[in-house]
Amino acid sequence: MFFKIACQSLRARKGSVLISVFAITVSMMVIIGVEHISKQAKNSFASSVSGIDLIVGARTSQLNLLLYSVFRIGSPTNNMSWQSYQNIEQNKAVAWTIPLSLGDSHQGYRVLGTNQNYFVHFRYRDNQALAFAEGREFQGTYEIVLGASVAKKLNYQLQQSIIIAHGIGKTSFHQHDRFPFRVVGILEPTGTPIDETIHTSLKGIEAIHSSASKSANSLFNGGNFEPSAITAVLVGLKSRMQVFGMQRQINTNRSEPLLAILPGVALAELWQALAILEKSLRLISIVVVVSATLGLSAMLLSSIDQRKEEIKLLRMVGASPFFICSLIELEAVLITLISALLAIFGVYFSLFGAQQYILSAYGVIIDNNIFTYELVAIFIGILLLTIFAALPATINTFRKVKFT
Amino acid sequence: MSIHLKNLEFCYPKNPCGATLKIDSWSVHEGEKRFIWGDSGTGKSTLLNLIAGLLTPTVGEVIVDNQPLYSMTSTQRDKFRASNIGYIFQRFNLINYLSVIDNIKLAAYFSKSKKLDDTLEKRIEDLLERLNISPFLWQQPVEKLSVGQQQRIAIARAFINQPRLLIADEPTSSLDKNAADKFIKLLFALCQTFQSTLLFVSHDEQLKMHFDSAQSLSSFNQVQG
Ligand SMILES: Nc1ncnc2c1ncn2[C@@H]1O[C@H](COP(=O)(O)OP(=O)(O)OP(=O)(O)O)[C@@H](O)[C@H]1O
Ligand SMILES: [Mg+2]
Repeated sequence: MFFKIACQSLRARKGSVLISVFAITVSMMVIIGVEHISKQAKNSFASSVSGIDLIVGARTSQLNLLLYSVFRIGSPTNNMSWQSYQNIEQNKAVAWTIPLSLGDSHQGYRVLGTNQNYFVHFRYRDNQALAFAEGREFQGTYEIVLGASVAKKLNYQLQQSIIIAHGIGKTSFHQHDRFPFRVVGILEPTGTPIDETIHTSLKGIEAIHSSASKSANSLFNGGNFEPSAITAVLVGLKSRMQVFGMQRQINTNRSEPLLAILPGVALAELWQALAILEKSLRLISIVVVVSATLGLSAMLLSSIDQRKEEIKLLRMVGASPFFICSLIELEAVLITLISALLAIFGVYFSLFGAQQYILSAYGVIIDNNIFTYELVAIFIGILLLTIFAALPATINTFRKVKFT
Repeated sequence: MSIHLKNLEFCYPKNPCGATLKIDSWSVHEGEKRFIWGDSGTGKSTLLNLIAGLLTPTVGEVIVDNQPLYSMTSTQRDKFRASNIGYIFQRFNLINYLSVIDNIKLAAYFSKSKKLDDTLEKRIEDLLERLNISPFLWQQPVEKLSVGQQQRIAIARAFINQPRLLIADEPTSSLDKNAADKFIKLLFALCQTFQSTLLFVSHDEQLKMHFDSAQSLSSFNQVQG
């Protein structure tokens, strides 16, 4: 009966109840969305660098090197010499290296020049290696391997020939129609920027850059090809203990100004740089929630005046003041529960829709599984806030009820 | 059900006019049909609220059915009211977003026989039939009913727990003379059936002709409005 009265009474006041539900739903969506996306972005970034001990590139800022080498954000300012790369590779502390050569694009997707080590040693998320959905690694100069979303978005199949341009950006003036590349492999989705990348060999990159006057064949058929420079190198060490020693060694290298960074430390610096943004977003979403519950509070309080007779009647048939106050609290809680359900589904489905877009636009994978402890905490927080928001109405009622 | 008031005094908190009621001794016998008239604002409703246990006297005793209401806890009073007292107001007798049936069930819900037993449905139906409410209306929200229909449903609600005391606070004020007479007849018949004592209040002195005993509030209240 208690529950029935609450539901019917809410139904009878559809208009104002719906507006409150709407306000609280929107505010909850904001807070859930902000919390979820910021957490997921961190996870996604961390998962992209999970197996890398050091990233080495030409001297620049720690953040810049991290962003362009792993996340394909921004562009490299300088290259590092092939000689320096070889020195690192031959260092006895080094287990493996992955050379990276960036700077070109195809249809807006970055082209990455690397070698077979990439497929062997690169790890993402919890120590997962790259896997092929179709095909194999590149071997010849004009072979490419596509990231999952590239293949999907551009609808490329194995064996398809594509043209790769020099430079970054969707339209490029130097399109080398002469050198068609062939798709030999397509990777499984990883939820990292790899999905948005086109991979080829370092030779392939050199082929894109070589001037038209040179005969490509004469250049690349030779056995010991060496590129002059690469953009950066990802380094795995035999023992993590050596990471600081190795970092110091590279950073103090006198033959070329290089920078070696620990991806975890660089990420921490990134989060620190973004902390103020994150905090203000959180503050804004809390303010939005609080103002929505204040609205609920006002709505409930004004409804009490209209419900004087109803309350008097309930008292007369034997309802205790406690019953009536609980009824008002229950109505508030029901409004919040409905809003919470709507908000959770709302966020869930909008993430479901936006996932692909966020991945292709920012290279960040956002899981639409929002059912985490944070969600429970937010939910309980808002529920408590609601109970407080209903207090003015409840106290007012209680006082009225005492002196009919 | 008998009622006794002893050395009672009541004032609303922060009321600048002082006490609303001051009654030395006043009683209603078991089974009586008592009519009280008085001008508007003289404290009739206040008196009824004290008897129903919705208000507690500032000083003095209220004894209903030989039980001292003033020494009960408020929960006990609520329970006592729900189980023993039926109440009819001039207006707003029903919760208008609930159906006819639910309004009546609500009154049963708070009473001693809280279990919504199977006899309840039957009792509700009997009452509604006796009060001439067509079954088509039973599941309707009460806001869709006429004032007269609502007033009859209020009677059904007031009698559902077979109350030993029925309190009517100007129930006929919104009805014309003819309807008012019918209403009072109906009330009497039901009081007869359920053996209820009736306490009927109005500002309309004319109605006193229907009752065994009638008095004006000013005849026993020492505070004169
Ligand atoms: N909740 C309240 N707080 C303060 N004073 C009140 C309250 N309710 C009633 N009063 C005052 O008590 C006095 C008696 O009120 P009451 O409602 O008992 O009169 P009444 O005889 O029932 O009038 P009516 O015939 O208009 O219903 C009035 O002067 C009124 O102003
Ligand atoms: Mg009155």
